[in-house]
Amino acid sequence: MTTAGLISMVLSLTFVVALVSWCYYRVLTAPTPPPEQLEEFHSA
Amino acid sequence: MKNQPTQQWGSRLGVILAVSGSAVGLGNFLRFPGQAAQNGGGSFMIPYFLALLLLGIPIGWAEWTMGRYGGRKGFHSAPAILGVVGKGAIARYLGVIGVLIPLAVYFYYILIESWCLAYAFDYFNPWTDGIGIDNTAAITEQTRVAADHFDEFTGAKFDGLMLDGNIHESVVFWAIVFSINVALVYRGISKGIEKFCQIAMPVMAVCALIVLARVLTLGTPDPNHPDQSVANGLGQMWNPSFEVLANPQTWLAAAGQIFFSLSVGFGVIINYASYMKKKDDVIVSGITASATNELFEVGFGGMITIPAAFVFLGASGTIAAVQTGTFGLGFKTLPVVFAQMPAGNVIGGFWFFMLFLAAITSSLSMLQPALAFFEESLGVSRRKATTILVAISLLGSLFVLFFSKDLTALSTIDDWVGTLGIFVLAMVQIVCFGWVFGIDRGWQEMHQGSQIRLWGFFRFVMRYLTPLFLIVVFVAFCWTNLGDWLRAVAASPVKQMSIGLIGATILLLVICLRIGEKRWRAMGLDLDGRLPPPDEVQSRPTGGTR
Repeated sequence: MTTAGLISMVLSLTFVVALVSWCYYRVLTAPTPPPEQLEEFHSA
Repeated sequence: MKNQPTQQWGSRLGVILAVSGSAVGLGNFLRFPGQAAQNGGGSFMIPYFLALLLLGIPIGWAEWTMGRYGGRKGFHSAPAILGVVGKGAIARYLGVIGVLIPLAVYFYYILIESWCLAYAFDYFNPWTDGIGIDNTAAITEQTRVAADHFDEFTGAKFDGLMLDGNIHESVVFWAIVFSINVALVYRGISKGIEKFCQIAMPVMAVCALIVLARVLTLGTPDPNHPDQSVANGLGQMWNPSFEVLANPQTWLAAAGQIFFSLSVGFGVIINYASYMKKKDDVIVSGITASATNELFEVGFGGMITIPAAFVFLGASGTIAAVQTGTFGLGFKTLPVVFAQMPAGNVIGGFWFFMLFLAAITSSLSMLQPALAFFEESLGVSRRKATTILVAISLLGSLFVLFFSKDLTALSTIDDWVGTLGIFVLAMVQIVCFGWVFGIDRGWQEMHQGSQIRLWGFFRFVMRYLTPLFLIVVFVAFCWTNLGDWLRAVAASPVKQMSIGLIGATILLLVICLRIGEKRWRAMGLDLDGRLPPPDEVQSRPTGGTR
């Protein structure tokens, strides 16, 4: 494996892992919205 | 008509995992590494990530937004939602593609899923010793045994697997997997699909981690071939060759991989998002589902398949394996690799079980859009809609199972629906969102309940850049493939029958939509999207319509 290969691999993995971590942090720490009353508009 | 509580997701994490599960499939582990290794290794990641940002994620956001908007108006199927967003019958009838794609892909995908489960069973079963490869034989002989096993198992050698008078393992597993899918979908969005994905996705990640740990600790297993090491295997996958970036084919391959991998333009996200609440965040949810898919694709797919093949088969063997395509790499080459690997049967079992989980979380998502469509167009209960769905998907799947020679029926439906149809639907969706619904209104709708505010640049991307990018990729794709596909159809009766099956399915869906249109109009529903959603009207101080 060349140095350029190692850099490509590390950069790609870092980008993906950082993106996933940021996303799940935002999702899991988000305030829960209040329950919503849903109505079926056209059920059988 | 009676009022019933509509379905909705139990949690935001639930919908994200379900959409991620829909996106993560065999392509993440088998197609992506082949594409990357053949198109410049590490340098492939430049067009790949650009396509993610300019094509995959924007189309995903459009789908999430349109789906949630349609759900607020009481619609859950792609035709009805696109009719509302695209303001009329043209978009509504084009939306039939959003039901056709998941339904027709399910016809054959369920078979692939059953192969994965059967292989996992054979590998975990101590009495079967994997698929019977003798690792003391020459590699060419082992490859022949693996290929023979696959061809025999899938019926690729002859048509009529179902009617030869024997009970085949593949048919038994197909029946099991078909039943599991129907049972889970029948249980509903929250109790069936969401609960299953909340368990399956972490289990899939654990299986992937086990296989990854085994592959990365292989070292240099054969002292006679010191060059066949894990490090060099990773090099085969990641060493960049920047000159390929000058080749348009590399950019098309990257865009195609992102496009198919994320399940955008598939008709699933728009249906899943319709069960979200008005204030649920679609922007972060959309990125999270895409990022989860990327974790499985780049983090696991990019680190497992090519290095494992390289360590035991060398550079030339790996290149040859990649050229055999997804099925060749997954079902003919990797069994040979597992046969050489210490604890190979257990690792093979985890690998194929992981592929099974990736497949079932995708196949579940293929049934739900059609189920929702039958429920709301025909006005029938979930039980009746499930019965209709089972009848259609059973017929379609039996067709693919019967015409199994060279997997012709499977590949024809995959080409014309699972590939071409996705391009068409994605274009319909992004045009409806950016141009008919309007980018200003779409942008506002997208930011409802959002935790983050997107950079304004993405307005430009979603209105101009993504459609343009998509048209370029689509034209290039048709230019490369369509002529060959048409010639192949003209030459093969099975391919012609497969096209006939697709045509019959479209006709059936159009008839259902026609019935649905009449019903919805009779009920006074706003199926052409002329009015704001009812919850918006209720929340206005003075009422009225736009």
